Amino acid sequence: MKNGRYYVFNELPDNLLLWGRAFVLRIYGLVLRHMFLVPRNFARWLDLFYWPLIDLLLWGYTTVYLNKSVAAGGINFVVLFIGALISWDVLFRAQQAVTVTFLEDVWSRNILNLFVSPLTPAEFLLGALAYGVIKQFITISFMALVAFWLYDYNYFSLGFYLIPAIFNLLLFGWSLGIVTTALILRFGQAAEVLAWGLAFLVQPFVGVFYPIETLPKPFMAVSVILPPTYVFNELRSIVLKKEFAADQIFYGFALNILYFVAAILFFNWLWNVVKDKGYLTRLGNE
Amino acid sequence: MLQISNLTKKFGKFTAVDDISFGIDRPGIIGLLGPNGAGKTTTIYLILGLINPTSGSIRIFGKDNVKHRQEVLSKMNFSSAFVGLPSNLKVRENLKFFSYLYNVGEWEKRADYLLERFQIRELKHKKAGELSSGQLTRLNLVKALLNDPCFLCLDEPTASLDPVSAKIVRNQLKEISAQEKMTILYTSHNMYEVEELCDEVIFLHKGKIKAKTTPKELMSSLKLASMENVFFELMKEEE
Repeated sequence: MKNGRYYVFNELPDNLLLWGRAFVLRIYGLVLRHMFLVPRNFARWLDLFYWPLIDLLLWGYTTVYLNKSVAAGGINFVVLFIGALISWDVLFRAQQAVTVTFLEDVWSRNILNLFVSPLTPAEFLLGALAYGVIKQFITISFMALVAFWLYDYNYFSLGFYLIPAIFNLLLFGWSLGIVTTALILRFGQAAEVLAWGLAFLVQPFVGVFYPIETLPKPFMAVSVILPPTYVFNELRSIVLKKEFAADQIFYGFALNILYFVAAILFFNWLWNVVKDKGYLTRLGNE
Repeated sequence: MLQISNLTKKFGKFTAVDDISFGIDRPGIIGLLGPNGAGKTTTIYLILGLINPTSGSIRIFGKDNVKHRQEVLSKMNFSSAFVGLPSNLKVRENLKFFSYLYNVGEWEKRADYLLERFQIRELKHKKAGELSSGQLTRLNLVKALLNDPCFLCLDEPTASLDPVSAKIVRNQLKEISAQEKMTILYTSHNMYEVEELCDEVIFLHKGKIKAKTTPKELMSSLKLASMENVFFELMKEEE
């Protein structure tokens, strides 16, 4: 409690065991609420398979073409581009999982029902992240399978180095998702466009398909403060030089922690603004 | 049960709730009445912790509703004609989802019992989006009663109902409130309904409490035959 306000993480339970059980059940409930829809909702199938497939086909064939054209350079563009594409999808869909989960409850005017229950905003976010991880696992596996089948490229050949890279990308996607959700809370459905577009705002700067040295210097200054830049550098380093750039992963992770903490603080601050100004109830009736 | 002290809520220069204090200390149905913009819904949202108060305090079950949010909300619930449910989930799935949020044991038994009471059990496997507005309102009430709350806030729950559905809802609320010793804070513009249902009424106007008594006492003190006339009279006084 500070100045009579509720802060997201400040409620300490008397009985940790009962509270912990209720905590897990609430999050499980949220995951279940979305999992119910996966088998029968066509839009979810599009989300899981169709859009990733379209991405993969478009860029896959582009890189095959590039590979043929510049074979003399000795760079395997298929490995470079398709690996980068799948990794980018991890980031983009991590952000979407958080935001769209929230938007679904806004669209169905269910948001007030959630926040008059004992569900806390922190639990709501954790539920969205948990659902996102399940969704990501399915999507990455599917993309990797199609890439292997169509382009003879094994995404998982990057081995254990892939784990810190994917974790870093997830973390950044979640940070973007949390910020976007906070902005939708504040500005209502008018801010919905951020759910679909915010990740693409950083895409040119983080060197998904090319080293950031390709960019003009002012753009590079933006690149160095974005965590995914280091992840894509590391992935390129593994593919091209067969070297694991531990320092890149470390910088990326350190920056990611800062971004994630900042995103949580931003959400917490806007959550209280929203409750002060009554925007939450307005959003619930929009 | 509920103790509100010097509660004020301002949105910029507009004062929606103006230094109100009242308490509810026994089960029953309490009507929160007043014209549009009187501060009824804002008061309910403040009680539910959806809005931060500008000043004042709200204690529910003897505990501050902000400090002990989770504990308080686990024994409360809410339903409104203006709030929806995930339309792409089936009735059963909706109730299962909310049973997890409220940590309801044997939820299906409770859900079946309530669906039966509100006469919508046959819709259990239908999607919420396929229900009529009357059926959806009743489903919302089932959701609101799922955790067997001690204190229930209802914001115009019969606003979109036809007379038959409204009667079912009124009867069930009256019975459930008595059987389960539940306190229901109820907003409505239907004064006949208020007369039939409410044990006590709190009349709000421009964010202030104009009266707090039983409908009978209010009618006899103003020498009027119906709550609708009481409503007009109190509005006239203000003008």
